[in-house]
Amino acid sequence: MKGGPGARVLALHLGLIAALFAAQFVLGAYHHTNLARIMVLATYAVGYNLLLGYTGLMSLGHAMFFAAGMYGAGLSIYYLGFGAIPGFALGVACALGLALAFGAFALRTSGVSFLIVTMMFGQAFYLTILYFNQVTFGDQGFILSDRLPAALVDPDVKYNAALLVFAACFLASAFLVRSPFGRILVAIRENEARARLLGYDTYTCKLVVLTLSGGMSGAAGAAYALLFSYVGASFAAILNSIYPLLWTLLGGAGTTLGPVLGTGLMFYLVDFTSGWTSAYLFVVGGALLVLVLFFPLGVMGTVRAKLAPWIP
Amino acid sequence: MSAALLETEALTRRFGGLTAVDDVSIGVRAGQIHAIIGPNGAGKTTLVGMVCGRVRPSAGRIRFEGRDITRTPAWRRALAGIVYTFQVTSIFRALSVRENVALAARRRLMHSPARWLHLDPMALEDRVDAALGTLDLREQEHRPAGELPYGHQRLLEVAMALALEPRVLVLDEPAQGLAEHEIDTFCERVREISSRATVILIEHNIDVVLRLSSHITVMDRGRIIADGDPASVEADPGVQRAYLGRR
Amino acid sequence: MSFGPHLLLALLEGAVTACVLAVTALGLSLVFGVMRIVNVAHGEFYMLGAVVAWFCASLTGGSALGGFLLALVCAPLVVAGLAIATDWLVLRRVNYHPESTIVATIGLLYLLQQAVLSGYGPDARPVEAPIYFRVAFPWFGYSGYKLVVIGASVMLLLGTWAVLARTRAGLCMRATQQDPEMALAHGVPVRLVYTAVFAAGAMLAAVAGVLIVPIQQAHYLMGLDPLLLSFIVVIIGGLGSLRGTVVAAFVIGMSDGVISMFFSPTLAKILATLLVALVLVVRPSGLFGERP
Repeated sequence: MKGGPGARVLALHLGLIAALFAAQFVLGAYHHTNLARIMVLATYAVGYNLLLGYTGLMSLGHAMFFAAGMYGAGLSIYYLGFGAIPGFALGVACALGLALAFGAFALRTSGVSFLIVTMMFGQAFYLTILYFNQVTFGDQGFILSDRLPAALVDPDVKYNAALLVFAACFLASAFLVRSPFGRILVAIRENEARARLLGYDTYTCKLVVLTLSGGMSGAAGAAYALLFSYVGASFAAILNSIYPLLWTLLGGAGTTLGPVLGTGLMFYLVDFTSGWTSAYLFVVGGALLVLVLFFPLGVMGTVRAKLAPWIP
Repeated sequence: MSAALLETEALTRRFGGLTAVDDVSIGVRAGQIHAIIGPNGAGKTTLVGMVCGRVRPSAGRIRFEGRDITRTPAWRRALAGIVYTFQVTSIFRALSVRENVALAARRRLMHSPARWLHLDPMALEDRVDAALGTLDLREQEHRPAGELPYGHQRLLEVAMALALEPRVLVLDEPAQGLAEHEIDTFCERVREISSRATVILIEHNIDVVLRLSSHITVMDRGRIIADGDPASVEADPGVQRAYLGRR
Repeated sequence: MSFGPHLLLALLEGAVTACVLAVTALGLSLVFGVMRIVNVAHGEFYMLGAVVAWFCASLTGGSALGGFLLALVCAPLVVAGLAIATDWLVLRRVNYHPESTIVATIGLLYLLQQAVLSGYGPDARPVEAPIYFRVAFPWFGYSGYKLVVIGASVMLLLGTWAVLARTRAGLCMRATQQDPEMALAHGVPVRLVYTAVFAAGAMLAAVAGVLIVPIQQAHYLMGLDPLLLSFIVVIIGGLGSLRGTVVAAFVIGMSDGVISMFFSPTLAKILATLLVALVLVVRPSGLFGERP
C-alpha cells in the first residue's frame, strides 16, 4: 500500500479512527454514550459486510454469532468468575467456533438455500437460549455490572474500549479486502464457478471468511455484554440478524466505510423516530423496502460509483 | 507410442435418460494440439467438462500423468494445470480486464498462507502484462470485462487461462465470435501456446482444426467415431458421412 | 393416561400440525418452484389469514359457522390482493432478483406486523370453532374440528395438485418453471403467471391461517413459527419440489406433535433444525431436490 490510492485509502481509514478518538473530547454525555454503542454495533456490521458485501453471501442468522460472543463472555463472567478480558476472549472464541462449525455444513448449500439455512439456525440458537432459561435467564436476561471491574462503569473507559474493538476489526477488514485473499472473495461474489476453475478452493475461502465474520460479530456481542453490562436472549432474535443487513445495505455493501456509516445513520433514525412513534419497526421495514427499490448501492456505494471510484 | 499425459477410460455421463458421453476412451499426448470435433450435441463439452471437473462422470476413469483424478475437485485440477476456457464466456464481468487476468495470475503466486495476505506486486504485474500482451488486450485492460466485444471476451478467457500457466489447456470453441481476419492471428497464438502447454481444442471451424491439430478425435452422439492424425481422419468415410460432408 | 393413548393423542396433534404445515409450506414451495424467489413475508400472510378470520367472526356475531365460511372467502381474497400489489409494486421492479426479493419481503414482514399491531392490537384473540363436536375415544375425547382441519388440508393439497397437473393454468405454471424464456416464446403470459403464482402461494398461507385460528388464537407475531417450519420443510424436501415439501411436512409435523407433547415445543423446533443440518450433510439439495 504505497503511494497513489494505497496512501489515500490508508489515510481515509486512519482518519476515521482519529476522528472517532477526537470526538470523545467534543461530544456531550448523551452522544458520547450513543457513539460508544454505535461503535460496538458497527463492529458487528463490519463483520457482516465481509460476508455480504465482499463475498456475496447473505446471512439472516448472524445474531447467533453476536449472541455466542455475548453469552460466551456473559456466562463465563457470571458463573465462572472470569475477568473482563478472559471473558471477552472466550466470547470471541465461542463465536469463531460456532461460525466454523455452522459454516462447515451450511456452506454446502448456496444461493437462497444458504439464506434459509442461516435464518433457521439463527432461530434455533435463539430457541436454545430460551430452552435453557434456567442457565441463561431467557428473555429476561441478566446483568453483569456487579461482577465486572469498577473501571468499566467509567464512560471514558467504555468509549475507548469500544473504539479499540471497533478499530481492530475495522482496520483488519480494510486490510483483508485489499489483500489477495480479499480479491478472491470478490471473485467468488462475482462468479464462484469461475473462481473455482481458476484453482481456488472456494468452499474453504468461504468458510474462512464466514468464520472471521462470525468472530467479529462475536467480538461485538462480547463487547456489548461487557460495556453495557446486559446479556439477554433478544440479541439472538431474528431482528438482531436483520439489523446488520439493514446497516450494511444503507451504508453500502462492499465498501469498508459503508457499514459504519449505515449503523450510525440507522441508530439516530430509530432514536429520532422512537420519539414520536413506538412502532420503530415501521422504520426498519420501510427502510429495507426503500433501499431495495430506490437505493440499492447504499450511501458509500453511490459515492464510489459517482464520485470516488478509488474507495475500497 | 509414448504414454499419454491425460487419459480417459470408458468415461460415461448420463443426464436422466440421455447418455451425453458414452464409453469414451482417449489419450492426449504431451505437446500435442488434440482436437475434438463433432456435430452439436456430440458430447464434446460434457467430455472436457468431466476432464476438468465441472461435470461428475457417471462411470469411467480419468488419469493425469498416470494419477487417477476422477474424484479430484475441479479447483485442485486447475491448480495441477488442467485449465479450461469456457464455451459460453464466463468472466468476472464487473471487474476490469486486468483484474480478471490478475485473479488467475495470483493463483500461481499464492503458495503459502502469508502470500494470501500479501504478494509482491512486481511479480504479479509482470505475469499479468505477459498474458494480456499475448492476446493483444493491453489497450483495453482498464475496461470492465463485461463491456468487451464478444470475441474479445473469448480472448480474455484464453489470457486468464495462460496466466494460470496451464499444462493442459482446454479451449472450448475459442474462435467463435472472432472476425475472419482475427482468426489467423488467433491460430498463431494457439500454436505459440502449444509450445508451452498441451492443448485440447474443441472447434467447429474445420479449417482451424485442420491447420492446428496434430491429432483429431471425432465424436457423434456421445461416442467416438474416429480417432487419429488429421489425414487419416479426414479420409475416414464414416467421418465424411457424419460430419465433414455436411460442411 | 397410559403411554399408548398418550402417543395416539400426540400423533393426532402431529397430524393436524403436519396438514396445516403442508398447506403453508406448499405455498412457499410453489412460489419458489415457479419464480425462484423466497417470500420471507409468507408467515405474515398466514397471520393475516388468522386475523381476517377473527374480524369475520366478530362481524357475523353469533354464528361461528357463518364467520368461518366468510373468512374462508375473505381471507384469501384480502391476502391475494396484497400479494398482487406486492408483486406489482415491488417484485417486478427488482426483476425478481432473489436477494433483493428477500430483503424486500423482510421489509414487508415488519410493515405487515406493525400494521396489524396498530390496527388490531397486541392481544391474542380466540375465534370459536365453526362446528363443535367431540370424537369420543375410549381414553379421551378429541375435538372434531381438528379432524375437519385434517380433511380440509388434504383436500387443499389434492386440489393444488389437480390444478397443477390437470389444467391449462397448471400447464402454464409448469412451462414457466421449466424455462421462462421458452414459455414466453410459446405464448405463456409469464408475468401473469408470476403474479398468479405469488397470489396463489399467499392464498394457501391465508387459508392455513383461517383453519388454524380456532385452535391457536390470532396474534400479530404468530407468523414466525410457520415460516420457520416451512423453511425447514422446503429445505429437507428439496427447494422447489412439491412432492418433497408434502412428504417433509408430514415428517416434521408428526415429529413436532410427538416431541411437543412428550417434551417441549421449543425442543421440537430445535431438533427439527438439527435434522436439517443432518440432511444437508448427506444431501445438500434436499431429499427430493434435483442433484447437481
